[in-house]
Amino acid sequence: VIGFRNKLSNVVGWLGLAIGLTVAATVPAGYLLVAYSQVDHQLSLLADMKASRLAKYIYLHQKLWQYQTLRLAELTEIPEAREVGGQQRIFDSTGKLVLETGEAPAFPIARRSSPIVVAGLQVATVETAATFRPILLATAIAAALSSLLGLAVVFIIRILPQRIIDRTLAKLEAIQTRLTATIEAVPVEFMEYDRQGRLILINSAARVSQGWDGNSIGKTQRELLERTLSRRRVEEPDHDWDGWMAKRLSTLERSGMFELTRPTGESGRFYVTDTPDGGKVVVRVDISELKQREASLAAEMERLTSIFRSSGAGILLLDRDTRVVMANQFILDIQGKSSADVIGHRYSELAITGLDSTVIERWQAASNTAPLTAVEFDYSLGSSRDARRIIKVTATPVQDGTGALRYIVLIGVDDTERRMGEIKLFDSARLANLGEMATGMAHEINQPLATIRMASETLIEELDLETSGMAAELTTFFREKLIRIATQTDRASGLVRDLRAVARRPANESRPFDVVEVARVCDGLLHEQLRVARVALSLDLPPASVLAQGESSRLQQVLINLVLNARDALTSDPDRPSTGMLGHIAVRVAVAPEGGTVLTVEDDGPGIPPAVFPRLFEPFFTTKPTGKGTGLGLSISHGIVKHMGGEIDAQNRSGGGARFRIILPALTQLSPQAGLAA
Amino acid sequence: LPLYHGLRAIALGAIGVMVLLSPALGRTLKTGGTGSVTELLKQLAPAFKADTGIDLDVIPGLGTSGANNAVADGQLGIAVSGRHLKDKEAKKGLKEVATLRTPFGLVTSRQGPDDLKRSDIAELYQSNRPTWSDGTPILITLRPVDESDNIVLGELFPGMTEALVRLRKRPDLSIAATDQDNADIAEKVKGSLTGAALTQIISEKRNLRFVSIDGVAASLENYQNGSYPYGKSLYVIAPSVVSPEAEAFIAFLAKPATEALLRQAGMITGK
Repeated sequence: VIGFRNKLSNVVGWLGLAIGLTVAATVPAGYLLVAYSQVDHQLSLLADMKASRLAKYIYLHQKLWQYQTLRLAELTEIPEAREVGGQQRIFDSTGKLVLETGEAPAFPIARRSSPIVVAGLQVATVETAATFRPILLATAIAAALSSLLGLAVVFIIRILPQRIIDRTLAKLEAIQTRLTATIEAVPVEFMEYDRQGRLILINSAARVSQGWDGNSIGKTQRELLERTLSRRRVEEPDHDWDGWMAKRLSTLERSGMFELTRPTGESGRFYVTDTPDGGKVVVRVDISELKQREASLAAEMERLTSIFRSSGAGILLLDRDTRVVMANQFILDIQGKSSADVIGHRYSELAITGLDSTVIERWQAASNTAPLTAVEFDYSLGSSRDARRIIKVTATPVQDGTGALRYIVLIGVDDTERRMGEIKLFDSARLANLGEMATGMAHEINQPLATIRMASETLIEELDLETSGMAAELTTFFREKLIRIATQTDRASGLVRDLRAVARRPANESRPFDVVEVARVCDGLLHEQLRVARVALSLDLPPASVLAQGESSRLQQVLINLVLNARDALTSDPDRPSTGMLGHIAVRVAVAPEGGTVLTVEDDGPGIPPAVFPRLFEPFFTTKPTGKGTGLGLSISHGIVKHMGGEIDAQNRSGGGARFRIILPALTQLSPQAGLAA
Repeated sequence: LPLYHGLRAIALGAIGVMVLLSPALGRTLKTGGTGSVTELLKQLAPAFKADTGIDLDVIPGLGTSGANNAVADGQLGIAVSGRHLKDKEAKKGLKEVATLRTPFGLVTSRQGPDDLKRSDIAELYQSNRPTWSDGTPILITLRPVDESDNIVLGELFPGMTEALVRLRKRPDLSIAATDQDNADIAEKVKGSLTGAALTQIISEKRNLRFVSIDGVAASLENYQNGSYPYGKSLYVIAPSVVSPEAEAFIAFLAKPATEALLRQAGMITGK
């Protein structure tokens, strides 16, 4: 700063001297120039005027005109021109002085002449002369005054600006100190190079990061880097330090922002700016952490994006004008369009309807920070009842800081399973109630049945004792009828007992049970019913019990369901005969070679259509007429068998008809403590 | 051939006679000078021709200095100067060969009679707004500084030279270059006042009247008897080598007949 001040003082001093000399010289020079020009112009003009007047006179008085001095003298005087102290001389064509009027002007003299032309011939020359002394005197006075003025200018420019410069420099020093402190304090690296590429300023952050000590000032970037790298090349020889150095050196060859990563992995962002004096300011910000975060963020974004895209829920983002901003694959699949066909289009153009336009308008009109309420609606996907899926959509408005609507987020969830669960729950409750009612009714029915049984047995005994008074044929007839009453009463009691077993509330307790008994109970429950429907039911059972683990009532439910499905298939067959039996259902229990139990239900009906196989066990899928089936039977059966650890499958028989096969695991694989339940 | 030689002798003889007779044939004396006598010289020309056979060619407007220079340059045979020769003119060989005198005074266009005191004239010339006795403004006409009449006027009355120098600073006054201009202006301006020689007024028949000074009128008689002492001397200037025509003119001036003519024009010869 002191050097700059001295330089500035010298410049100002010389500048003041130059201006002072200019002022001192310009005023008299200007005056002299102007005055000389004026005198010159005046003398020339007077000479021309006199020549003109003399020419006219000589033309008229040519005889000895040279000696007509009085008239010539009169004509050379132009009082209107206010000549003062001038001299006029007339020379004839030979150069001889003809007339001289006025006193000879004092030195220096300005002379101007003009030819006197008569009839095309120059007969004489008139000369006007005037002294230049007054102008010189005035010029000298002006020079003296302007010299004083110049001295004043020198004084003013040298002295006054010096004080201003000193004050300004003091301010500049303060600013420089503050700026230096600020630069020193900033957490980014700050380096400044002059136009020769020498370092002239560096803050502590840069010194630490670059490994440059206090002697780095005045050295070029190459020198500094060479000094640093000579050590690092030895310490970390595996890195390409030369390549990095070449890139680093190129940073000073251009301006702008760019990033550079050290061989050791630290990343820096360089901001290079040209200074007005041709140097460079380099600001380096360590972005290593930022880079790591960017990488983490990118990975997170990729993960979120994959979640967003593959989410089981449909996500649709609309702007405040209901134009699609984002849509995940779920939505695109529903639309059956690509992303490009959806993004930017209005919500009203999409297939996912249900968000009422009045709601949207109300949201769009929102202007305060009161939160807007989300709305829910169902969207049915698929036209047929069997393939219908229920999407539960929640539309949530997103407001900005002013409360205005910014986005609308629509999240659609496939609600079909939950709805099915609700229905299953309802059916379970209904069946449970029905079971309890059946149990109560069985108890009530058993009482009269027991009474009837006892009464019939008593009548038989009495009939055996009292046969004297009754004809033998009549006794036999009564006896057969009573026996039949007792037999049917027993059968009714058995039905009631079986119904109680089936309708018993699942205890959710797994225990071993006899699969053969389950088959028999099923036959007992359905045999008569099937017979009425002209369907034969046959059992193919092993002689001994076949045990399985689980709840017998649940497997009974499965078996009844399979038999009734077979009945419905037989009775709904359009090719069924009008008389006689419609078909045959066979229930088979066998022990599998691996030790498990195989329960098979076969019919000789039309079989299962191939298109139905893939969705056979889906909930709500049914081929029965509307109102006839819920579409839940096979689905529930599948769930029960799975719960027991078994498998259920279906196939068409080669000779016609369908076959459902249930494979239950061997009992030995189950808990040995379990007791026999049925 | 004899015939040719005879004719050639006759031709050469004729040429010789013509050469010998040529000076006498068409001899002319160019003259000029102060404007006061220009008209007088023209009036003398017939008598001079009759007396000497020489034409007198009067060049007007030369003035004293111009005429003297013309004589020195041989452009004039003789000149009439309104003043004595200057030294530089004398150094050119000019010389005063005769003297003529005429009354000199102040003339005006007024019908008069007017009279001025000799002692008041210089003061009158310096007054800002001089008037005649009847209150008419006196309008003075000046002459060029070197003009002979200006010099004569300054010398005639006490304090007049200084008065004329001061008066010359007034821009409103007219300066007449020649004697004829002076008379023209004085005739045309009402209440005019300027210096003039009696011979010019008479010979040019100017409608101007002299103002009497101290009660004495400007006439040749009063001038000769001394009661009117204000006059102007005129000098006949000849070159160092006087031509016969000039000598004839000098002799002509001295003749009684010529003097009579001069007196009629308000002029007398001799110092």
